[in-house]
Amino acid sequence: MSDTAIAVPGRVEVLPGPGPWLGALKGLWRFARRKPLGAAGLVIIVAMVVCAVFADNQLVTLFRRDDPLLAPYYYDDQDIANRLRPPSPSHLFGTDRLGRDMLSQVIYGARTSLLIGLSAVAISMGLATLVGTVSGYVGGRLDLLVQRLVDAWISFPAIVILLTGVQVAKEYAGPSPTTQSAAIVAVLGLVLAAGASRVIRGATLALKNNVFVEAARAVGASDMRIIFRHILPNVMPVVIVLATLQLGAAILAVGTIGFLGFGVPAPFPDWGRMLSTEGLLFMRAHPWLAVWPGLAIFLAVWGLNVLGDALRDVLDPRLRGL
Amino acid sequence: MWSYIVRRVGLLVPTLALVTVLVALLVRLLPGDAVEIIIGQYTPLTHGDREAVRRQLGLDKPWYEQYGEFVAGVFTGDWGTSLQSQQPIGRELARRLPVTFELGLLALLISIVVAVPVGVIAAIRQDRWLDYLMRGTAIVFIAVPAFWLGTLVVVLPNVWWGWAPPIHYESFFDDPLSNLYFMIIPAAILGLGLSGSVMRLTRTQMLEVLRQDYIRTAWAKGLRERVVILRHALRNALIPVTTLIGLQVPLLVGGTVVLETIFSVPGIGSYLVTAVNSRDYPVVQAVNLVVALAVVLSNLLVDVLYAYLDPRIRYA
Amino acid sequence: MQTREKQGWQRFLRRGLTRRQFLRAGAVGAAALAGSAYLACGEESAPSTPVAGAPGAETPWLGGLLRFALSDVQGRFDAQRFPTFTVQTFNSFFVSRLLKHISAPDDPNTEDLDLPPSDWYRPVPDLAKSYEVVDQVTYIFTLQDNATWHPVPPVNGRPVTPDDVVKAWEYYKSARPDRGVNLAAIDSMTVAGPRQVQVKLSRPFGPLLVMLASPSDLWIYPPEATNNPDLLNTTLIGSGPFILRSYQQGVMAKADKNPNWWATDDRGNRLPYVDGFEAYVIPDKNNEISQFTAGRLETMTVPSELIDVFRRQNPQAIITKTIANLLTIIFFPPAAYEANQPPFNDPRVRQAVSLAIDREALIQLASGGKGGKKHNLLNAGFIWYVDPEGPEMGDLGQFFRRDVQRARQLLAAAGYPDGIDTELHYTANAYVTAVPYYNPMAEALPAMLREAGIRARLVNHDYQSEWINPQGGIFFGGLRSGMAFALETPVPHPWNQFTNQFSDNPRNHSRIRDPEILRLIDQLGQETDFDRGRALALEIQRINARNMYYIPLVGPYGFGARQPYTRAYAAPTSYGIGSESTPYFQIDTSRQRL
Repeated sequence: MSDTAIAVPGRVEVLPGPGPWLGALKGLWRFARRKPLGAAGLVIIVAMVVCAVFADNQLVTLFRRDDPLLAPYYYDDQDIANRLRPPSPSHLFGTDRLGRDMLSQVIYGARTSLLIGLSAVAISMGLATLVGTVSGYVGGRLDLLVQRLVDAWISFPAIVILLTGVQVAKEYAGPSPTTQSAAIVAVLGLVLAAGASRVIRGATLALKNNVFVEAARAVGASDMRIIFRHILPNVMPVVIVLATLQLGAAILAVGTIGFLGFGVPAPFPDWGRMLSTEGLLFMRAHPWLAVWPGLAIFLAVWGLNVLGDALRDVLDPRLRGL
Repeated sequence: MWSYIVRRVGLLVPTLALVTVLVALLVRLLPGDAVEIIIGQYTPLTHGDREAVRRQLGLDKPWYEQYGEFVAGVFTGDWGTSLQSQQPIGRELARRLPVTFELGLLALLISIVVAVPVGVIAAIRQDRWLDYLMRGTAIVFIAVPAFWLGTLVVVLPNVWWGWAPPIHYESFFDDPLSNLYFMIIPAAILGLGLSGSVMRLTRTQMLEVLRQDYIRTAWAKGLRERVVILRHALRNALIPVTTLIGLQVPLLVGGTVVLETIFSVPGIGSYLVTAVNSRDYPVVQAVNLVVALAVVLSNLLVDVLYAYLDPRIRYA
Repeated sequence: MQTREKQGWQRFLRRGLTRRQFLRAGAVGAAALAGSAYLACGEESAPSTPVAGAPGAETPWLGGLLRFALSDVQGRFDAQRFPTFTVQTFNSFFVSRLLKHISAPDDPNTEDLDLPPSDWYRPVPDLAKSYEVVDQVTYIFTLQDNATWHPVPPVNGRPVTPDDVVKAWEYYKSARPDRGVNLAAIDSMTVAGPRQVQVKLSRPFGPLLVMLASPSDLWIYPPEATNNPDLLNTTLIGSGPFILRSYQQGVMAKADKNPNWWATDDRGNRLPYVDGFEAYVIPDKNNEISQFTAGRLETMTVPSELIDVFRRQNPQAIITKTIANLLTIIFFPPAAYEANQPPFNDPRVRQAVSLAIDREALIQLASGGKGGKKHNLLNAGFIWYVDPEGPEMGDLGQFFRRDVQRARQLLAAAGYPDGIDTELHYTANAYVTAVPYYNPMAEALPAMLREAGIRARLVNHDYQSEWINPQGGIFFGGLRSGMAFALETPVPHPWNQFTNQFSDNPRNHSRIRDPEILRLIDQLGQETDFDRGRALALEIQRINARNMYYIPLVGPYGFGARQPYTRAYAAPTSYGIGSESTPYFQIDTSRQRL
């Protein structure tokens, strides 16, 4: 493997060093020095992941009540007597109109956004990698047909197909919050997959004519083996960069459909819904209701975008046009 | 050139066919009880029997007939009837499409006017603080949710100075100035959101071009920076940017969905949101189709333009 | 009889001038003038609105352009085929009914009634100038002498004839999806003279006049419109106070005053006072407030959370405070009554639910800290209201006060010592703008119930398809298990509400069959005396409280605002504003900036 990989510019460099941890730290430091914006993005995303995982000791479950860990309160702990309080020591981000702690809701909101976003991106990247590599590698009529389908699919603007698709998927899902969220994940994943598959196909086409692929073919390796052993590892940088950027797009999309009223059902915290149901409506009187969830969406998307940009520059300079 | 266009249009045919198939599938994809629900929701209003609504959704026929009628309807301008209002959808689309089209066009112009100069400057000052600042800001505009920015614009100037955006839409042909004043604010918010990616691409293309031999030659000839950048580099760097602008069209339509509600713009987006909300599937179908067609056609236009600007493409 | 009634009306109109305003329905009025498109189907909200005009002692202001926001009818004009509150409100500007509900000058910051209760929802002339009761089942209505259709083709200002009214009635019976169940007591409507229409009942029907005045039912369209679907699908022609000039879906409607409308004030001024109106579609509430502040709207309703900031931004604006004329209730699945499905088949469990609810906190939540009232089964904004904790309710008032211990005891006594696991169903996408306190109330309830051991999972439903869908929607008997939190359609007469809730009617959400209540409803339907009717209504509410078939919750105060250069009139009901209040709206044109 290593002998062939040299030929590929996008290959992740394995850093030599005394130990994997120290090496990784050194690598991170070098990344931060070279890409300060990207490093800032990384910090934001790590913070978000920490919030999402350690909000309470349920780790990643959304729909069960448990004791909060990192969040000061459980997300639906209400105290109507102390409703709509501005930020204070006991409620750092203030309280909403049910007297729920805004900070806790924003922290739990990270879990919602990441859970939905990551699952959608996982579907999207899995599908896109499959379609992109196979279509690109096999070529010919299959490629022509698949690409026309992709053409047709990306002609539908994301939000349009999301609203439509989420509504159709929810016809199947019923009112349960878990299945409704699954519906959002499925549609979002499908929406994101088309564009990504096109990029991965491009990368595959470039790899296909490389010497090492021809060499593998010459020694009689099967197509499957070539795709799995030679093409896939080498499109991974592309996949990583795409996944980062797509996660940003997914979080923004989750916020937007939440804002339009098609997102995760209440009371499960969702930044978009927090904004649409009270944040923006009461902005004049209680600005903190709009500031925190808005800032959370913004920081997450911004962080993922600058991180994605930086990763792209580091991992694969050819992808700059993305 | 012509053979390229013919080839490109040839590719369009299967794409369009697939688009219509996908849209036609929409209603068929609904589970049976959902159809019952939709029927139940409208039957008392239409006062007909269940079959009438099934007919209206086209579900009483075999799939190939349904599809045939659907496509025939598109060609004859019969886009179906809204379940909600019992009115022809085509008429409503004809009123709303130009509004969204104008909003999108304005937003596109704004994004180019903002993004291209910023992208060029960022490229010239690569990896210096001005570059970081500009790239950071560009991504800020990608990352700020449009509905958040839109509400800010509606609320803050009102609290500070008592200002409010214009109250209602005016057709461009009735009153161009009022129309532009009404459209410019949502268009600017939308345009800034798009400018981020245009700016990024302009920057990377500029970087690429600036490394080329002919630019080095231009520098060597002792030409001034302005001439090298504007006359030699930018022209070539912008060619791929046109493709990206084509790809922006779906994003544009997406952005209008949110902004139309905040600014009371009577376009396609607010029509879709209302229709999805009331499960008015014939309308949802029609809007999906018309928007997808617009995207496909604008991509064709951009590709042809691209080929015209960059002869290498035609022979690739 | 005829003369006496006519005098009564005239006396009232004169007397009405000095009366303080009795506008109710403030927050909900938002729905009428401002609301969201979501409220479209099924009249869950009955707004009246702070639009109105007061003749008053002063010289009336004439002319001016009235501007306000209105929910879009989305291309639906026919209030018989689309009996939704948005469409009905829009109709009230242009189309007449035989009678309408009374309105009175609006007085800021008043929520107490100055009118004798019997004047509430009092029917006053609209297209009919008077009526005569021939016998218990025969009424004769006489049309206004100068009533004409709008001066637009194809009616071209011709007089309204009794035959037109009869045809409109026939259209109502054929076009209404419910075939006109509210007016089912009417056997026939026939021409009885050059200006007379005779209404024949199949049985004595006390609420007849109130129901004929209701905007939820009979609209008098010209036969030219009802015979021509193309016309009724694209515009509204009637004999009402305004003439529709243009309608742009999703943008605005423009109207001029009808110079030939029948009504004049006591100085002989032809109504409406304003020259016309423009009604804009403004889906975003923030945008609407900004437009008002910028002086581009004459009137609007303001969410109570924003009223303080609104006052700061508009120190000159006239603010009216009203209680919502809209019932919030919890109801249970039909199976609880029909199939004895546990746990809500046991009245003790239903009482425990009521006891677990902190109504004071809900009032605070719903009103943005501005206060409100506890509902009885007849809502607190309704004149037949009885305070659930008042002396008339006796010891039943205890069930309307929070008592978590007691709730737990009742649950234990019913066989649930460890509490119950259940659901609370609601619809989150209907009332976000129009009734902004509905969603937060739904979200607040589970935590209150949890403290009493009732662990209710919140389940959200789509409004159009799963909530008010006549085929198995939750609001129409489709609740399978758990509880549902709903807004109840306000109606002009308790007979109407109780018939909806307890008889063989789709709006009997839980399919309750209580023979005692049915007997009382029957009596109420024949009763014409207000006090005796109120006693019957009280008895029904006592039976309900004892059984907690429906658990009434709370109604908050709401706020309307209008510009300082306006005078207004308001009506106690709902979607009739176009003819009940707007004709009396006055604008001081010297101070209006256009």
